Amino acid sequence: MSIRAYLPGRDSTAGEESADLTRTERGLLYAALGLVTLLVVFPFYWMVSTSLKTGREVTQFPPTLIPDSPSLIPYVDALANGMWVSWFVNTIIVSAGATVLVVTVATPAAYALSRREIPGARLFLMLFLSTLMVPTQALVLPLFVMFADFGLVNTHLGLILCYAMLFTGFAIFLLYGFFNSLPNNLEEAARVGGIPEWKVFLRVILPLTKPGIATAAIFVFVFSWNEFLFALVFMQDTPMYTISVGLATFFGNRGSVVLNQLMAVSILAVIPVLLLFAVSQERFIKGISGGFED
Amino acid sequence: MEVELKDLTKKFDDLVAVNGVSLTVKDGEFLTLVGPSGCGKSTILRCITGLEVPTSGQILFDGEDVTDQQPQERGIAMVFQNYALYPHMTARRNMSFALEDSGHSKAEIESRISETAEMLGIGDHLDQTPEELSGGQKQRVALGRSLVRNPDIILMDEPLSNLDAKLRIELRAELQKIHQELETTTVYVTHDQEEAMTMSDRIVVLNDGEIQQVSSPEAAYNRPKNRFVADFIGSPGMNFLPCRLEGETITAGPFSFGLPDGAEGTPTELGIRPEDISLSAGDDGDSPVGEVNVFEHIGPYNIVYLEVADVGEIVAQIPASRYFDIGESVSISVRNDRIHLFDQAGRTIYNPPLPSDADAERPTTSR
Amino acid sequence: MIATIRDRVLDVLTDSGRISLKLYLYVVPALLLYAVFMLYPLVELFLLSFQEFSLGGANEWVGLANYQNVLSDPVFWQAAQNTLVYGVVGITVPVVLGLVIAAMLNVDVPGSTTIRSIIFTPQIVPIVVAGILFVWIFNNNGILNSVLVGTGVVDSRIRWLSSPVLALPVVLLMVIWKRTGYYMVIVLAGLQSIPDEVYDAAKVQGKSRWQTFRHVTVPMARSALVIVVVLGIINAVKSFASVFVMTEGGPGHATEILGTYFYKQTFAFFNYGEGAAIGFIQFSIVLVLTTAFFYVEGEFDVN
Repeated sequence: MSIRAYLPGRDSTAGEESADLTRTERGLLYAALGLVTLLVVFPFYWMVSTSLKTGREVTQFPPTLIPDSPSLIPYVDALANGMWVSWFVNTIIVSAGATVLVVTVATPAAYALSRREIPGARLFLMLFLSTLMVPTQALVLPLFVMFADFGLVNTHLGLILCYAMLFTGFAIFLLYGFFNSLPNNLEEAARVGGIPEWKVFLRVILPLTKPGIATAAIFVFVFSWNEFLFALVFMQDTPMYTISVGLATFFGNRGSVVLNQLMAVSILAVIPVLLLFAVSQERFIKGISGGFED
Repeated sequence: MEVELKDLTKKFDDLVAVNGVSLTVKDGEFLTLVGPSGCGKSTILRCITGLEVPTSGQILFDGEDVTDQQPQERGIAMVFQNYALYPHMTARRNMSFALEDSGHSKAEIESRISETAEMLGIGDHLDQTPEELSGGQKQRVALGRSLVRNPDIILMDEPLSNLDAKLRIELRAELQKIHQELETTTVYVTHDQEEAMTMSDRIVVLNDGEIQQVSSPEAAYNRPKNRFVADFIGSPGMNFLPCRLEGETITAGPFSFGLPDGAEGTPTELGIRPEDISLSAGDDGDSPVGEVNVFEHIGPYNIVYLEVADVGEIVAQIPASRYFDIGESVSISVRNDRIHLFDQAGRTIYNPPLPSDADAERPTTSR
Repeated sequence: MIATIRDRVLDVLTDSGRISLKLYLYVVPALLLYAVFMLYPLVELFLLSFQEFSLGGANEWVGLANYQNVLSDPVFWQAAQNTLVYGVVGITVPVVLGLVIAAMLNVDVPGSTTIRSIIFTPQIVPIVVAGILFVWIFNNNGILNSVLVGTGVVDSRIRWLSSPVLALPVVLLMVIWKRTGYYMVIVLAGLQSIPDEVYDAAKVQGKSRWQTFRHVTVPMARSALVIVVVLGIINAVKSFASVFVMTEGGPGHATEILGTYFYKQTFAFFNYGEGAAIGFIQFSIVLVLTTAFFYVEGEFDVN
C-alpha cells in the first residue's frame, strides 16, 4: 500500500521525514488529526454525558453539552432492574462459551493444516477460508428450524454453537498464520529426539502458541459479545436476551425510552470489550485481516 | 551401530532426489556425505532419521529393517543447521526433555546433563533460554541434547553452516574430539568439502542423487574415481585441460607429457592440481608461458590465476615467498608424475601414485 | 489382499514424508462443526426455498413460487438497490478516509499510537450500541439539530431518520464512523512496513512524485478499488444490525436492505419459504461475487 507515499505534495511518509515538514504544514496536520479525533471521540462523550443526566435534562432541547448535576443514578436505576444484569450474565456465558469452543476446535485444525505434510492441506484451508464468505445471515433460518426440533432455541448452548460456526473459520485463519511463523524444525527435532507425537504437540508446539491462542480468543470473545442477529433470533424469551438484544428491544419501545438509563447500560456493555482491547491493543491490531461483523 | 542403505531411492513427484544409493556406515565411524546443493545428501540423512520415507529401498540398523519405523522409535539423535532448540525451555530442559519419560531417575538425568555440559563447555549456560545464547552456544546445546541420550548414531545436517568462520573451525575440532572420545557412529552432511576432508573417517561424494565415490578423504583427494570428484574435492580446484593422445605423448595446449604406465583408455582431459604447478619469472624458452591475471595472498601460500594461450585459465599454488605482478609473464612447469587423466565419459583413466602409495580404500587407522 | 490395500493407502498417505495419521484427526472437529452447522443448513435453506412452510404443519412443494413472489416484490428491489448503495458507500468512504488518516499518522507525530487506537475503538463497540447512539445524536431533539439550529445553519430541526432521503445517509454515517478505524489500521500497517530504502531509492532515481504517481500508483489503485468495492458489496449483503437498530428499514422502505428484508419476511411475517428464497438469493449473490473476485485476484487480502 504505497499509494499515499507518492501523492504529490506529501513530503512525509516515513517517520524520519517529518523534519521535512514546514511549521505551517505541521500545524495543519495536527489540526486535521485533532479534528478527526474529535469527531471520533464525540459520540462516546455524548454517550457518557447523557448517561449522567437526570430528569428533564435528558430530553430537553437544546441539549446541554455538559450535564448540570452529573449523577450515577441512571446506572443504579438500570442495574436495579434485574433484567439488565441477567442480560449481562447471558452475554458473558455465551461469549465465554463460544470462545472456549472455537479455540478448542480451531487450534488443532490450524496446526494440522500448517504442517503441510497432509495431502490436501491446501484444500482444507481453502474450505475453511471460504466459510468466512458465506452470508451467515441466511443460515439463521434453517438453523432456527433445526434447533427448534432439538430444543436448542432459547438456550445458551444453541447460541454458542451458532457462534462456533460463525467464528471458527476466522480463528483457524488467524492461528494458521501463527503456526506458520513457528520454525518447522521443532517438531522434527522433537521427533528425532524420541518424543512421542502427542507430546510434540502438547509440550513443544502448544506452549509456543499461547500468544496466538490469546489473540484468537480475544477476537472471538469480542465478536460474540457484539453479535446481534443470531442472538435476536435464537433468544426468544426476555430473560435469555443478550445485552445487544436487550438494548435493541428496549430501545424499540420508543414510547417509554429512558434514555439516560439506556446510555448507561450501553456504556456498561461497551466497557468489557474496551477493557479487553485496551489490554491487548497491539495483539488486536496485528490480528486484523478481515471478517468484521456488522 | 552399523547402518546399511540398500538401493535407497527417494522421489519428490518427478524429481529423483536419491537414486538407488547403497552404502554401509561402519560402527563407530565418522562418515560425511558431501556434495553440491541438491545432490541428495540431506535427503539421505532424513531418510536415515525417518523424517522422510524412501520411495523404495531399505534402511537397516545393525541388520534390522527400520524403513517403516517412526523417527521416535529409531534411537537416533540429530543436530540441525538452525539448531532447532525449544525456545520456551532452558538449555537444561532442552537436554532433559527427551529423557523425562524414559525411566531414568532424576539424579541420573542430572548427572548426565552436567557431564555432557562439561564436555561441551556450556555448564554455565544451562539455565539460560536459547534467546540468550550465542550461535556457538546454541549449537553446543543442540549437540548436548543429542549426546545426553547416548544414541546409537548421531546425524548432523550442516550443523556448522550458520556459524561464523572462526567458530566453525573451533567447533570442527571439538566435534572430532568428541567423536574420538565417544566413538558413536556419526553421519555428517555438508557442502563444504574442507569440512568433509578434515573431520571424516570416510567421505561419500554425491552428485545428482548418486554416489560418485566412497573412500577415505585422502583417497578422494589423490585418487578421485571420476572427474566430478576430482573437481569437487580440493580448493582451489583441479585444473582441467583438454588433451590429445598422440602415440605415447599427451598434448594439452602448450604442454606435453609422456603417457604414464598403467593408464588405460583414451584420455580426453588432463587434470593437474594447483600445488603441482611451479612458476618462474619470465620466459625460459623451454616451458609454456602464461600471463598473470590475478594474484591472491592467502597467507601460508599464494594463488596465481594465469592466462595461457590455447588453454585458457590455469590456477597455480605457489609458496608464500614468491611474488609476481599482474600482467607479468611466467614460465609454467608441471610435474609429469602428478597428472590425472580422464576419458570422454568423465571416468578416471589414471591417478598418479603417492610416494608411499598407501592403498586408497583402506580407512585411516587410530583416530 | 487387505495387506496390499493397506500398503497402497499408506503409500499414498506417506508419499511426501513421514506423516502421523493422527494429524487428520486434528481437523475432524472443525470439519464436523461446519458440516453440521453450515453445510447442512445451507442445503436445508436451498430446499426450504422451494416449499411453503407452515409451522407445525406439513410443507408443500411450490416450485419457484417463492422466488417469483420475492422477485416481483418492489420492496425486494428497493432493498437490493439500497444494499448496493450501502455496499459501495459503506466501504469506499471508510477506505479513503482510512487512507488519509493513515497517511497523516505515518508522520512521526507524538501520540500517534494513542490516536490510532482511539480512532480504531468504534470498530470494537457493539453495533447495537453504535446504532442507538447515532439515533440519539440524530434525534429530532438531539445534539446535532441543536448545533445546526443554534449556529443558524438551518432554520428548523431536521427530522433525519424520518426522512426517506436522509435516513440511509445517516445510517451510512454510523457505519463510516465505525469502520474507518479498521481500514486506517490496515493501511497504516502497510505503510509502516515499507522500508525507508524504498523512498530513498525513488529519490535517488530522480523520479518526480507526480511521475511515479501517474504511472505506478494510479493503475495499482484502480484494481485495488475494484476489489474494495466488491468486498463492500459482499459485506452489505450480509449486513443487518446497523439498519435494523436504527430504522428497522424505514421510513417506509427507504433504508431497507436485503438483511432486514430477509429478517422481516422470516421472523415478522413468518413467510419462511420466501425468507428461505431471499436467503438463498443473498447466498448466490455473495457466491457469484466471491468467485469473480477469486478469479481476478487469487488471494483474499484487502491489502
